Amino acid sequence: MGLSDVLGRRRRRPVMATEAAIEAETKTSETEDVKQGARFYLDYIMKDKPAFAGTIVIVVFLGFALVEGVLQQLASYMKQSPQNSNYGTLLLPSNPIKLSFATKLLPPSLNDFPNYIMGTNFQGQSIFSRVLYATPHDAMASILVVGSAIFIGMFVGTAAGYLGGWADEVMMRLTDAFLALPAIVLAITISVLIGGGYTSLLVALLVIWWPTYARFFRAQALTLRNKGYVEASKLNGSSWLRILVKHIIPNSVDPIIAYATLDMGTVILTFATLAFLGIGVTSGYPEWGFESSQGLQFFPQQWWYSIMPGLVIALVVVAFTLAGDRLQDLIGGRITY
Amino acid sequence: MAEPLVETRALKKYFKATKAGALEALFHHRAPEVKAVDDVNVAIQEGEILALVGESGCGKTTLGRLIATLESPTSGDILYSGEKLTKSTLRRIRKEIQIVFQNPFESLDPRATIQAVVTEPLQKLGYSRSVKEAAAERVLASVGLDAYFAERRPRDLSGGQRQRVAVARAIISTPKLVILDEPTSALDASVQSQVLNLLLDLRQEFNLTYLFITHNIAVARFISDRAATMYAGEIVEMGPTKQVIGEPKHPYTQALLRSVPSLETKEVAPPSGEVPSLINLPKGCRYHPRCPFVMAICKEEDPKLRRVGDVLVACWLFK
Amino acid sequence: MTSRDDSNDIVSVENLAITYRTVYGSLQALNGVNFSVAKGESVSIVGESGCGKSTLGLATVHLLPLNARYAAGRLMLDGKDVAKMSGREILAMRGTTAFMIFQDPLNTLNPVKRIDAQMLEAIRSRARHEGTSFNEQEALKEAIDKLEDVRMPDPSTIIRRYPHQLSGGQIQRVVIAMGLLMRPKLMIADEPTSALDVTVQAQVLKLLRDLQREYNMSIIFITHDINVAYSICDRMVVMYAGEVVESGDSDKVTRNPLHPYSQALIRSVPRTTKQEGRLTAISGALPNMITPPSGCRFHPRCPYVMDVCGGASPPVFEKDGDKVRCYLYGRTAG
Repeated sequence: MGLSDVLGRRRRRPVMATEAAIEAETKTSETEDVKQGARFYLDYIMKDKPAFAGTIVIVVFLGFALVEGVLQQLASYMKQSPQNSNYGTLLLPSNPIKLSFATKLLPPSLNDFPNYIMGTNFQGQSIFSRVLYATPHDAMASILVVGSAIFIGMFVGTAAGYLGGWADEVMMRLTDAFLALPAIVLAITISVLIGGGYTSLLVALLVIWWPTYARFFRAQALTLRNKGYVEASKLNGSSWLRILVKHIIPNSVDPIIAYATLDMGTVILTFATLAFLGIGVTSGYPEWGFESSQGLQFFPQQWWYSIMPGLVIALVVVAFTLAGDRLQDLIGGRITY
Repeated sequence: MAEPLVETRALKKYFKATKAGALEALFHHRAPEVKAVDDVNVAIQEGEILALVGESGCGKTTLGRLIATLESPTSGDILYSGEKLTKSTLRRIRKEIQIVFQNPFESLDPRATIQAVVTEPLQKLGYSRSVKEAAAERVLASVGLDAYFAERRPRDLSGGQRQRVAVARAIISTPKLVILDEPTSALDASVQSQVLNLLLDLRQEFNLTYLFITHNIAVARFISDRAATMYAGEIVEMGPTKQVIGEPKHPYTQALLRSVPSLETKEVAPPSGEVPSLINLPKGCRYHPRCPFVMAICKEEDPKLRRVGDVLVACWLFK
Repeated sequence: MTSRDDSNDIVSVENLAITYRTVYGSLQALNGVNFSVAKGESVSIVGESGCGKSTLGLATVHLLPLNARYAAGRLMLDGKDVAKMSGREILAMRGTTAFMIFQDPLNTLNPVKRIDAQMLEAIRSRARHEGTSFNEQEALKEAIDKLEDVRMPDPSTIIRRYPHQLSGGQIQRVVIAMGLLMRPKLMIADEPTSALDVTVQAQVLKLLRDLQREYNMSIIFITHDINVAYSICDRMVVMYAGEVVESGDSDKVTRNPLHPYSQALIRSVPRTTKQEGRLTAISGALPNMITPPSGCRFHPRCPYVMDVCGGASPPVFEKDGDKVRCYLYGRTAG
């Protein structure tokens, strides 16, 4: 029974499979020239100027963060002192940690381009250098938080949606609990409770971020579990785990790409907001938000101290929003070609 | 008569109309039930094509899903070659059953290659990749698709082609029973006829048995050996297709036939009224509010299927 | 049948070509379509998906999507050229001259408004157009009367309900009733029964037939089902790949189809009466409408294909009162 019959049987060609019919069928697949997958998305982002600009900013931001981050890790590994030139300062116009009271509170100017384009702070450090130096933390925050939230949410949400019953109820109430609490307050609490500092803040953000994705994947699983191919798979003896991994998860991922892009911007904004309040800040590391809050004391005479980091935050967040929004339009079907 | 391939006995499937919450359960409030399949006895012989005909809400899809083991019965039994369907026999029985769904756009995983789709039924059998490839090629040829399609994805195929892939997936493990739920309803007329012809060829070639669910009586007439009409969760008439569709006895089957527009009759003669809600069924015969031959007993008692010549009819007109 | 008197036509389409701009290219939805509907006549347009029948229907009431282009030809509705109508004229035309009903009944009505509110809205709009006064009591009575006309059981109860409380068949009746309230000259129905059950479909078809006679209304009935088309219309128009391939009296077209596609279509549809053997299937597949076949668009699938068929598109020939676009019936423009 089974395969041997299919293989062993002398293949009598049914009337339907005439040469003409086969030829006609193969000719209809003439849409090969339509780009699929990543190229398709890229193509549509490029058609919208703001989204395109946003994408460029994102690429520069992430690219620079990657390189700078690696260099900083290398520097600390080699136990180099942050006060002097080290690997971390290779790409920067000046040392962001070294005190230099002679150059304190200088307004933005084109002197020593690009060192002073954002002016200097109270300790004489170039704000531009400090902003660049802090980039890896924000980039890593956005990628790690969103990435982990997707990962956790994917398994929890899909399982809950597909299996239903108790698993579903438990997950729903759990996410309800997390979503009911005000995010910022919760983040502060968790972060402080586990010791404060950068990694603690990331953990705190992850805790408040994952429920949204879990819900999202659950909704997808609820829709997909009724699809023909899932039921056929069930009939063919697939275990629920196999169905989840092979059929449901891969087909759930598409719509969240756009949302995740938007979300990365939101993470950066939240991170900066908390840094503004002093949460998650390690001494000596010039977080964007924290710089801005430091600069408030000197506002409005030395306006650049507070405004400049804020502008950078805004630029990066807007870039993610533009690109993500455009992707969202595409996936949500709001754009017609 | 030989033992039927599939037999249902007093099969019932009731759905809860609303989700009962914790409070309602506390007060033992019984949620209203949708009586989708109500006490159905049907048998399918090996090698035959049984058509299940009816309109939406009559329960034919639910009955099909019950027989396909995709739903579990509220009460009653289903026997496969004499063996009862239970939790322990489920896995074994499922190996002999396959299903083809109505919607060609949702029955194939959009992310899988056609080859992966058609060989999925073979996954647990331990075949090597090359054997699976060969089998995929053979089965695709059987349904009239060139081997070129094996590497494509569903989005590159038309509706008719996708249905053929669905059929290929259903026959690759040579199941005993294939349940087809409106397989051609979503296809264009010219493609429909291709797929129907194909199904007949395959039945011949692989000695399959079909449970063919459709609302289209003409299609049922064309493809089936035996037919059963369903109304409001019950089978009202069952027998050889020539008789059930050619010379229907039950008033509903007659009404159904008179409602089908055809090139032979210029006007249609539909029945009055509408299909009843499965939550609030009429007392007695479920068709009686619409029946032109209604009698006193019809309003009191629901008739059971009785043998009248070669067919089974559930109607008080036939004692 | 000799050439028709144009002034009696409610719809007159001459050599119409419509294209859609898509991401894949320009889609030739309609190509050189000639078509007319006389006052009080019911015509059905039959064809499979992609043949352009919906496009033709939508074009008649100027409801084409934004990426459609009138590439050539004219579409006259009640004597006016639809493509050249001003915004105001279009608004005035829709509902009063021509009314359209669609396949999915649930999406046609506003789900948050009751039926009576929506029907009164239609009457109010008509009163505005005609310049007559609107009286709510009278309007309500008229609405209930119309529901009775469409054979709706218990109209005074139904009218106070919301759309989601009605079945598909009931909603279609409500939509037809609303259409009738506007007293249109032409009703265009785009697959109005495809989503309905067999018996409900039969009820709606019978209703439309009866109404058409009572109101002497023209109907354009668009469908993919040739049996349905036959039961509802006097004249039938068969479309394939954006072109009208055959048109004529419905009895003639179904009993003695001239065009190979019509023949194949009729032979490929299963019947409720006994059939021997297999269905005659049409080989091949529907063509790509971005790059349709040259010449006669059916020629790659035609069992009678000749050399000339792949060249220029065949002109329309007349035979026995039917019009057919096929080189089997002539060589040059006849």
